[in-house]
Amino acid sequence: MDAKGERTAPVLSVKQVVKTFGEKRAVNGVSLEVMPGDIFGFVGHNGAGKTTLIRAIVGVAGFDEGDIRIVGQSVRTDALACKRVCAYVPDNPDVYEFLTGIQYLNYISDVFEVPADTRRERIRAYADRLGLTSALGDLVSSYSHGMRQKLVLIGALVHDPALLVLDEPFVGLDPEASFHVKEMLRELAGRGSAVFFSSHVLEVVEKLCNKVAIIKQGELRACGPTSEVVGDESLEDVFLDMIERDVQGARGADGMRGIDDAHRAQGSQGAHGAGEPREGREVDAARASRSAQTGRTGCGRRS
Amino acid sequence: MRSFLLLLKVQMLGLFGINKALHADAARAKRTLAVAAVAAVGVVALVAAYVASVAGSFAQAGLVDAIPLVAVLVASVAGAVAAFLKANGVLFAFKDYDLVMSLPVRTSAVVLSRIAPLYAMGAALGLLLVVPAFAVYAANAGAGLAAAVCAVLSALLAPLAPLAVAVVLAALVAAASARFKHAGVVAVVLTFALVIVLMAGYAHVIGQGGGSEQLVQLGAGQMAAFSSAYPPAAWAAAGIAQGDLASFGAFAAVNVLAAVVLAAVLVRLFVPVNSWLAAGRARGTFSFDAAHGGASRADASARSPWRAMFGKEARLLLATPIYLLNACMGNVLLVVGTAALAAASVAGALPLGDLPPEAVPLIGRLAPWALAFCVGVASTTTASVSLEGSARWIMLAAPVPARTVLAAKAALNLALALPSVAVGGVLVALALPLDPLALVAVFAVPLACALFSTYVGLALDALRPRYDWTTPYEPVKRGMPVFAVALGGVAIVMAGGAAAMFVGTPGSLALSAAVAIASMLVYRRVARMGLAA
Repeated sequence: MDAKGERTAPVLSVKQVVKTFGEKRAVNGVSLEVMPGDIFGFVGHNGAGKTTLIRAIVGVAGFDEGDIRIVGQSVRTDALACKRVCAYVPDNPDVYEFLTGIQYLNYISDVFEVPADTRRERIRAYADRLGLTSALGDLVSSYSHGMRQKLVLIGALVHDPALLVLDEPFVGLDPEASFHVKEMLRELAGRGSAVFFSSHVLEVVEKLCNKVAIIKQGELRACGPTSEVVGDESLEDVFLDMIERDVQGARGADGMRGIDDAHRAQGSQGAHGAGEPREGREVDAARASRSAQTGRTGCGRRS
Repeated sequence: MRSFLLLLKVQMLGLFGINKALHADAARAKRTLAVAAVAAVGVVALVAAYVASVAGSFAQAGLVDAIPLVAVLVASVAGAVAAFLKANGVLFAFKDYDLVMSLPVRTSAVVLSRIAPLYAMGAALGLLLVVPAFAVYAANAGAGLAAAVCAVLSALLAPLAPLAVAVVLAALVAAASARFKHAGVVAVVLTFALVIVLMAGYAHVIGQGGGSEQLVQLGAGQMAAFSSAYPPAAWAAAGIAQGDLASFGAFAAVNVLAAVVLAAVLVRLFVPVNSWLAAGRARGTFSFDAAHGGASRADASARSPWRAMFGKEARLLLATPIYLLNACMGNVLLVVGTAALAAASVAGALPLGDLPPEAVPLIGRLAPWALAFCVGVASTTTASVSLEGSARWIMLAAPVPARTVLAAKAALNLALALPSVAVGGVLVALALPLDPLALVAVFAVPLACALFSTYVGLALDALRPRYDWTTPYEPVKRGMPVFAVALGGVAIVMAGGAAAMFVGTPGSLALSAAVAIASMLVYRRVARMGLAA
């Protein structure tokens, strides 16, 4: 909702996306929305489907079912329009080692058609802030992992994207750079863009993100405003509790009932419904309530 | 020993994407391995047939005794060239250096596991070059079992000493270029310089031997010159041809000793050399301030996405010596060869007057296909998509259509090939008496073959890129598109030569038009499919 109480269009809309690799469903009917100004954290185990979904969002890899829209344009039917307003920071910052840092940034600026004066101003500002300026004349092959991470991040920000998608952006960054990156993400969101990132650093997600989603085995298990998903606990507690319940669920079907209740609740309210969350059931009422709130944010998968 | 075998096994599994194929779905693995096996058998058969035919021409010229010497000499040189080209990326500056050296294994095991594939490649080349030649020799000279054993042993031993020299040279070139920002360009210049020195040395040896230009006319003088240039080859030949076991023993001892010395030296220098090569070239002096000379670099004017991608491709080519050498050698040969032809013509050294009158037009008809060979069997595009490697996410996430990405890659090869074709065509036109149609063909035929290598190479690489390489050598020298374009180019040139001889220049022009159109249609079809992730 904007200031007038009118619903604004999502920057990113993921609807019932499915991606399979052979027999395995890496992403299984995931739906979520990221609104302007959101910093959206995406957490899950290794192999849970985070990177697969992220690669589908940025158009690097395809998907089998569902739809992904960025500022209203479909990634499937108008990939170029989506890519123009999107930026991607992969989990491994592999860039062309035969270029210097400034050559890489100019290359990215050219590809995104950023005017010369604008790019110079932005590159200078971001590079100074991340302490990378003096190294920009050196070949990328001489960069450390953290320096490459900073370089890719500057390249992602140089065209002022409407949606910034990052896969584990804080890996390899020194504490000062990590602080500045968080500030830069907040500033980008403050300008009306949206940030969607995956991370295993749950403390950072909890502090930085206004929304969060938890994915497990390709399915969203929780999604919504961070305060509502977390409740009185920490995100780490919620995450670990979810794993524990799933282990119990593997022993007896009851363990999953809370989440199923949540999905039913979401289904009854519609994907973007504004109804009150249902009261929790006998199994893990708090979790059911948190998951049910996903109905208000457009997250979750209908059972 | 166990460590050595384990390390070697990992290297072998990476060869030609064998492990990847084995762990793909079973049907695909079978298909891939079957195609690879057929291609390998085809290449081996072609090379063996070519070697046998050359040996046969020696025998026809009455130079049967020269066959063992030349075969061992060529095997030695081939092993040296292969080792020189491959040493960087296998022994030095390889991507998994940190991982391998952190394992609890001896440096000697690592070094031996890295030398073994280089030697295996040299030995395979040696067998391929020596065995067919020996078969021809045996058939003509009536050699016995002892000679056969010596021939096989000489094929296996001949690459050792050249490998040692080549590895040392490769290390020196890499070390010399490592401290420069554009190390790739420096390495290419040093490599070209080395090649020129070798060629000059070869010319000097030939000159000492009597100056005949035809290989089949090698006389006793040139045999002696070859023997003096590389005595171990003569010792091996003496063992094969004359049963001189003392000479053969000396040949074996020199090669084995060279290998042992190389291994011992490498074990000591492996870590220091790789550390030297890996040490950062960072200067950390960039500044946006004009006073520090940084503004001009930062103020690069905006370019269109296509121009930016073209520039990136050019930088990649210049920064990757093996890529540059492999893809551009044909263009260099075309210009140098036609320049030599034109120079000979101007100097009156072309013996056209000595030829039968009916043979002169035939030369004009075949000349375009000779030029076409230079630009039709190799291209930058056969590896350009694969070379995106782990940075391919940049290409895939860029807001430009796949056809723009591919067009930039195609444009680079055409930017190299078309000027070469133009210059070569003009020089041939100056050197040879050509009728008007042949004059058109001398430009059109190589142009068509350049389009073939550019677009078919690009289409094949875009269709099945190999992104998971650890050294650029893998996609550049061992990629499927590289082999396919080389074999396809040779087939087209052979078909074109036949068309030129039996149908004439119109046949050449018709075939080249068909090749050009088919190549562009293949490319367009693949470009519509997008880029593989």
